[in-house]
Amino acid sequence: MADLSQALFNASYQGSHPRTDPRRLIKDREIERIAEEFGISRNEAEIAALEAEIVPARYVRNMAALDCKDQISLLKSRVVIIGLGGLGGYVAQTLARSGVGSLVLVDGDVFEQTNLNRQAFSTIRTLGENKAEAALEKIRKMNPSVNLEWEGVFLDKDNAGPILKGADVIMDCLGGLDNRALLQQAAHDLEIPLVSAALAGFTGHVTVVFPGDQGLFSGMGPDGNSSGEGVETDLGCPCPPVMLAASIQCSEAIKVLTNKGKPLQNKLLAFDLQDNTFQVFDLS
Amino acid sequence: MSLEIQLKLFATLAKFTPPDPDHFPIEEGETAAQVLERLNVPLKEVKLVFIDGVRKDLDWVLKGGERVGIFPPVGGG
Repeated sequence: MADLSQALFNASYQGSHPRTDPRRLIKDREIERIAEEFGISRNEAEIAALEAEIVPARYVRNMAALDCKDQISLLKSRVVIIGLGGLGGYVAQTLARSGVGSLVLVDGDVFEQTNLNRQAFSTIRTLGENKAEAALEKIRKMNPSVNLEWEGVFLDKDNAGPILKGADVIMDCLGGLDNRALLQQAAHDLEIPLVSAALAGFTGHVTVVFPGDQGLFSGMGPDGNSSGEGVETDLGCPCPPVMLAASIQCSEAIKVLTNKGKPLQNKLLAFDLQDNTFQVFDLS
Repeated sequence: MSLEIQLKLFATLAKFTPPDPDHFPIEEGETAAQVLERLNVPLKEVKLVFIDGVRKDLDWVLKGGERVGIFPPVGGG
């Protein structure tokens, strides 16, 4: 390990800005080289660097907002993202850029033309491709240090356990009400915090469900059951509220993973971008 | 003294918003459900009721002066 620390130090350089880059930094290509030389993953090499107070340059603008310890917590975290459509695309991208160490991308759907208005990884080239697989290819280019897995399936009560097991946080990025209650129950059973967001038109809301909390989606369906369509069918899903809700979801996930700030536990942050209403409601 | 509430109807329910939602008059002892029925809001489309920011049921009795927030089922992503 002394050799690894020495190699990381030798490959590092002094940050040039006295206020924003006070530490020694290390570039991506040096992380890659050292990981290969020592037979470890890039993720492990980044953790070793931060433990030696050498900051991978790609995370230096996280610093001050997050410290080395927080960044290490993120790098050691595993997050499962259920749904890689509107919410899930921006969530995956944001968590990968933030340096969450392992991401599991889960979606059984393929990209189609009607996704192009809002879904981050839908492009002319990815039409017809599985959403989770297409997302994985793009995320690898944004941050090759993230350990990535994908599952081309829709969540159901049989596969939920194996897919979600071992996650530090689960991101509910589903579209429609179907499966949201199922996901909430599975997260509860596995005792994993769940960050949920939902949208309709310019309205959206986000909440964090910790094990034992009542949560949001049971009985939400049109007939008092827990599935069916919400009013997004009437109001559509334009892009700006989707990006906003995804961004709030990621901020919540980072707070939970680093044990910082006040997460939206038993709270519902709701917004209406038509009249710029932002309110936090109490769910307990 | 006339009683009033501050009413915010979200998403599809916004179309039932009265002309002056920040000063909507109510009767003494009126429930959230009764207020919404007066505005022709279909109650089966109401999934979340917040009174002064706290989740309550539709049969919550209003006293006047409350902030009332109402949501239909929102599930898009």
